Amino acid sequence: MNIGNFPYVENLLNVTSKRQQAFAANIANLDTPGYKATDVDFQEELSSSLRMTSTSPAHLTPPGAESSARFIEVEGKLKANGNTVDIDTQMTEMTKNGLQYVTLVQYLNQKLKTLRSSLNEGGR
Amino acid sequence: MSDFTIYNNIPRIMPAPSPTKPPAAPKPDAGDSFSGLLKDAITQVSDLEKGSQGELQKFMNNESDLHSVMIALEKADLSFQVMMQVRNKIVAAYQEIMRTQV
Amino acid sequence: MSLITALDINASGLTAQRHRAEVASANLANSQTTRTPEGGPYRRKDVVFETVPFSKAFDIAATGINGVEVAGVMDDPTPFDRRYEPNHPDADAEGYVEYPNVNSMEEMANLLEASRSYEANISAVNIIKTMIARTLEIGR
Repeated sequence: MNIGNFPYVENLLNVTSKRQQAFAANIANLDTPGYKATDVDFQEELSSSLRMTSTSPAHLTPPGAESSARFIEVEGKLKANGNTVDIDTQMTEMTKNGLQYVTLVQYLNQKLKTLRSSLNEGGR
Repeated sequence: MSDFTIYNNIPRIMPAPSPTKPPAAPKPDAGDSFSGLLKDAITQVSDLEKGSQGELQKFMNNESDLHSVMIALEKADLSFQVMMQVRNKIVAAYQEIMRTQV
Repeated sequence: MSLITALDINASGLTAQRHRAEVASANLANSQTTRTPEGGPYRRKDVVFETVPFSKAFDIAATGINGVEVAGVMDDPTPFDRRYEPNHPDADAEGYVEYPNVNSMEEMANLLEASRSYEANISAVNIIKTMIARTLEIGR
């Protein structure tokens, strides 16, 4: 018997919240000389997550494990002081990331609601 | 999708007789598979309960994320609900049998 | 936890930008100060930003995540502004007064930049707050 396995959603949540750290770092270091903008290579993480079709929960990343996605430097326009952070791009991407996160939570809540109602109503 | 596994698995598991039943000692069929199911459910509840406590511990030590804790909590709660439903079904089945006119 | 760490990082950004704004304000306030306890006119100050690690890089190839801190406040070495004012009490033997090396326009621009960066960090904090709040509502 298998209870609510949400591995894909959990992975996405891990990656999205990790990505928020990258944005936080970029925004904090907007004016730091020589700082290079960072991001998470989430495309790699997402596609590897999609490829994982498993019949046993043991094959997937255990819940709570810190996402294995790494922080990478991203291309950016070089400013006079060696900084590559573009405030407008970062702000929009960060807002999108926040939106993605709350959407995932919403998705999770819907799934949980369905599970609960199938538990409560399905028995009749 | 894998998160519907429980939903899809219940019809598969319920009617089948327990595979670990020793063939030498025949026991009443219905009670065995039900009690096996209940045992499984209880085991899962305690596992997930421990799991959610472990998650909380990890969170307090700053090793895990808040969403992981919340999801672990939900899983524990859901498995508890399942166990309650299984228990209810068993009780209902028992009462049904007791009502049988002999 | 990822989100709390992100919050700390933006908090460091807020602190750093505030320092920057404070120094810019001090420069503006003292743009005409010809007399200081150390002698001579006010010398323009500048903040130096530096990254401070918030996570360890796992290997050489991987990047860590950094916040920011003010490494120090340094003096601007550009020469003072010498103006001919023989009647000024601080005039030297030739009648020249040394004024601070502060360009008010530049300082204003600096202050506005600091304010903009500060706002950006505030927005980031708000987004993170929303994310955390929604996380706590999972299952409700």
